Amino acid sequence: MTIATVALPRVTAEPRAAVRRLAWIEGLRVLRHPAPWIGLLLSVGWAINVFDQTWASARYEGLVASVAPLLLGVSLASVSAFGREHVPVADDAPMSAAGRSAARLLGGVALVGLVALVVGAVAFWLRLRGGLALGDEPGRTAHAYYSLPELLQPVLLGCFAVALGAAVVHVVRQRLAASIALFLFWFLVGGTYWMFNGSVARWMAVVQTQPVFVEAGPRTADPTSFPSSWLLSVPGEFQDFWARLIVSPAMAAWHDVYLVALTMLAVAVAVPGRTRRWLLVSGALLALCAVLMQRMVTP
Amino acid sequence: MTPAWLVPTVRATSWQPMAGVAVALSGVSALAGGLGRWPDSLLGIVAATLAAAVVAGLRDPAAALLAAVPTSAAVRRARRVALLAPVALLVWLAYLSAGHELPAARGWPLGLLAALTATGIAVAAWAPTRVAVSAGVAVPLLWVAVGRASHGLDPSVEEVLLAWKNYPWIVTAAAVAALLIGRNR
Repeated sequence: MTIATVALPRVTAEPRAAVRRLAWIEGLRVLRHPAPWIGLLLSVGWAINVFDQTWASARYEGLVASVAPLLLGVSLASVSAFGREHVPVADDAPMSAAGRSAARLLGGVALVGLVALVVGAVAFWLRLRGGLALGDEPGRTAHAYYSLPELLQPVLLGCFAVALGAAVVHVVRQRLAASIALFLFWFLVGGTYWMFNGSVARWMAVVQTQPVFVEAGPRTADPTSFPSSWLLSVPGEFQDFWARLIVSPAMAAWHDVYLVALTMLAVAVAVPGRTRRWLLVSGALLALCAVLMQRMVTP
Repeated sequence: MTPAWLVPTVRATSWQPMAGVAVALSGVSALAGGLGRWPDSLLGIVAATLAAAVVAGLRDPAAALLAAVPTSAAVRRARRVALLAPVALLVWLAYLSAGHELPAARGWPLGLLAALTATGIAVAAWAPTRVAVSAGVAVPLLWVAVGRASHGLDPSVEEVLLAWKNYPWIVTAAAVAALLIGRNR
């Protein structure tokens, strides 16, 4: 006698525990990748170089940009993790491609944590040493501190670096080509940040540096006639006027929103699944909104 | 008449990195032109990226399959370099010529590209097969990045870290010599 039984239907949704477990494994794996640690050492080297420069906002701007090698390392570790998605997996694997990508993305949180730790350590060190020099005499302070939205920027850049690495290797489908592209990208936006921080470009820049230079008076003006609370920059090779230096936490906050939007767009490219369309639309709208808001609050 | 190896090698070569770098550099040139300022500090990074793109083009997924054919790996590598290097040189010259319209652009530093490319290829020739191309790509990128971050080190160490910039032709000669010694690898 034959007994026929009906097989239970396959469960289409991944068990959350499996995603969490894979995310944990990926998180440990990306932390063992040498690129973020080499990037961290290079960032320290860049930061030390920044302290050799003496122009008005060299240290305040340069310290933010010196995070670029660390972010490159984060992106390269992400490329390594997401590059494994090109290894064919059986169609009936217990976890779908979207589930595996989501777990890898969650694993990238470990790298974001590393960036956050570094930023926290630098902020603490700045408190101990009494801040940074900003401005030229007679409008100068030796105790400039980053505002919270400015400190949040490198952490959100860490999120973006993870998503960008995933997106680039997903599109290019070749680890070496993706790594070269990311090297050029991060050294461009970090090493030559001034190119992307013009009057309009700064709203769409990836690495946004402050302060904003606002014309205070002509080259011939007497700087002692400006209010004593103003931070100033002397006329020079690239600036034909006395400038007032203004740090805008509101602009930095909206730039943080812009970075969240960029991360959403990069995740939409990297991770297949039902959320892709939602991420694309909401990311694009959020980016547009953040750019417009930065325009409104720019000094 | 074109040599028989030319068309198959052109087809098999990975042009993707070179094309990507060329597109990115044209964007940088356009942006610098718009701003009226040349990113002088980017020169080493651009040279390293182009050198890495040349070395990445040496990646041959069929290398194991072709190991038994009479054309040696060194000859196949030389043919790819003969195709990729002129393209890299053209991109480099185009990038530099765009900069000559702007202040701060300095000369035609062909040595930078030569030194970093030769070093990358030499490393790819000498490194273990499994990681050869990856190591060849990484070395020029890492060398420039470390040189840029070096500060307050012993002067002789800094000389080595910046040799690609300060003594490019000596580096090129040393790398070519290493490549010739390892030609049978």
